[in-house]
Amino acid sequence: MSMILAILCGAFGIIFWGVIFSLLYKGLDRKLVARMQDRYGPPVIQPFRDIEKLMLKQTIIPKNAIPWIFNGAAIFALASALALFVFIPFFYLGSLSGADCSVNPQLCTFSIFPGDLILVWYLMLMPSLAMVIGGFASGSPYATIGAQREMVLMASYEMPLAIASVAIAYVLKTFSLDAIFLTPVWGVSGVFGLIGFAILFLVMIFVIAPELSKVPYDAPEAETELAGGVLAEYSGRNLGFFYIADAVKAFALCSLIIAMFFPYGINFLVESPSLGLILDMLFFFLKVFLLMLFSLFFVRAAFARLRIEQASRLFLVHVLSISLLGLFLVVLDTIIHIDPMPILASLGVIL
Amino acid sequence: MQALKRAIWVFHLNTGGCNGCDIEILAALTPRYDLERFGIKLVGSPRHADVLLITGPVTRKMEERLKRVYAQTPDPKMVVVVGNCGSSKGVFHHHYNVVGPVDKFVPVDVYVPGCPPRPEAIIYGVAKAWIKLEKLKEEKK
Repeated sequence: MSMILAILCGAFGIIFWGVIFSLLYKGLDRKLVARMQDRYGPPVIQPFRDIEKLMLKQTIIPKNAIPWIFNGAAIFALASALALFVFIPFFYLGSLSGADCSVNPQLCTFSIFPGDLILVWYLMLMPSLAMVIGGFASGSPYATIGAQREMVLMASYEMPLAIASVAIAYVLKTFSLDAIFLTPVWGVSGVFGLIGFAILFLVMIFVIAPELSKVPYDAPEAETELAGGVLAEYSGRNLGFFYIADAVKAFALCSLIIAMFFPYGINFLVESPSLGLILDMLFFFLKVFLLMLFSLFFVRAAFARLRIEQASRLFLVHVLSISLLGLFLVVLDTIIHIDPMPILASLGVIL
Repeated sequence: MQALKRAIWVFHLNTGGCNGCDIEILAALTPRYDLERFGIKLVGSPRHADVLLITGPVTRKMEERLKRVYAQTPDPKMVVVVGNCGSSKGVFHHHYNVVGPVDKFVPVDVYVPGCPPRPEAIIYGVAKAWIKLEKLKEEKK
């Protein structure tokens, strides 16, 4: 009984803090992009004010909308985005969990429930899907066009994502996120594998922006042509739900990619486990920040919107072929395994 | 209500103006004036908006649309009229296709005069729009 209570408390706690940090990262995004454009920018806590305001506003349900689908989509998007937090391992919990990590490694990571990659990818898809359903249900031509674009974009970027996940699962022989977190792929692959995973990591960084429908792949939410696109008819509380879901998804996606490709901590630098945990947390937030900086903030400040067919072609042709090359190298590595250590040593790199 | 003051989302509607005021509104978003530092954001749909920023005199065709956009905006909402034309029909006073200033059709909270007004004036007008909320609060008392 107390076990269930502990899990519930842990889940609610991690969701609460997850939402707070997601919104802070969103504020950081707005501030930094403003600074890059030589503007002063809103304060970092601006997303909290936006949410507070949206919750106070009237929630209009348009006459042409189907009310239960229209409202349900907003709640569904938020719920599935929040559910992501309990499955993603954030950082190494180490001996603080009181478990022997060599016997039961699951207890040493920060995911509350043992999830796997497939489940998390489906949950990641849900907010976009809810937006599509809500867009169609709102009975507005703008929202319908936005929903169609969102679907086209989803169909384009999912393939490279799936290839990267499959490559990791192929090497580690598991989809379990805890196992992937505890066994970084870089340690178990040879020369070809290292090159392949580096390519797949770059592909994943590239896929972050369309997954979140951010500039330059924000054709579904185009404010200038589509009046807000899928969200055109949403107001008040429902819009606030989508707002939170969007911020949460950005944070969760970046944490997931870090868990897949760069789960290393820095707790070996200090002796005490609690200090190590704090260091690990700070290092984790730094990693998320860097990933967002290069995949979202710089891109948003530098590029204009792509047309939907340009974005779709980019992912279905170029990014997909690059990720297939990565997968090919990873599979080749399991056939011709060349140990990278002697090569690195001959180059003078000491590990 | 404090939050509303600091996170004003603006929808911009031209009811038949000459585009002069619209260019000044865009100038208010540039790095020199930067509306976003007050949390003011331009949005694409009236459903997301707190403030309607209306420019231009109301033409016959826009009358219906203006009323509809006002009805589509969720409460609490404020209306700011930018420029002389929207406030008093301006140079279009005797035009055959102009049916009136904005306040003939929707309640207006703030008038920003000028042809066109300076971006500072527009920012001041939008930031002043929350006085309507103060008024509403006093009425409740």
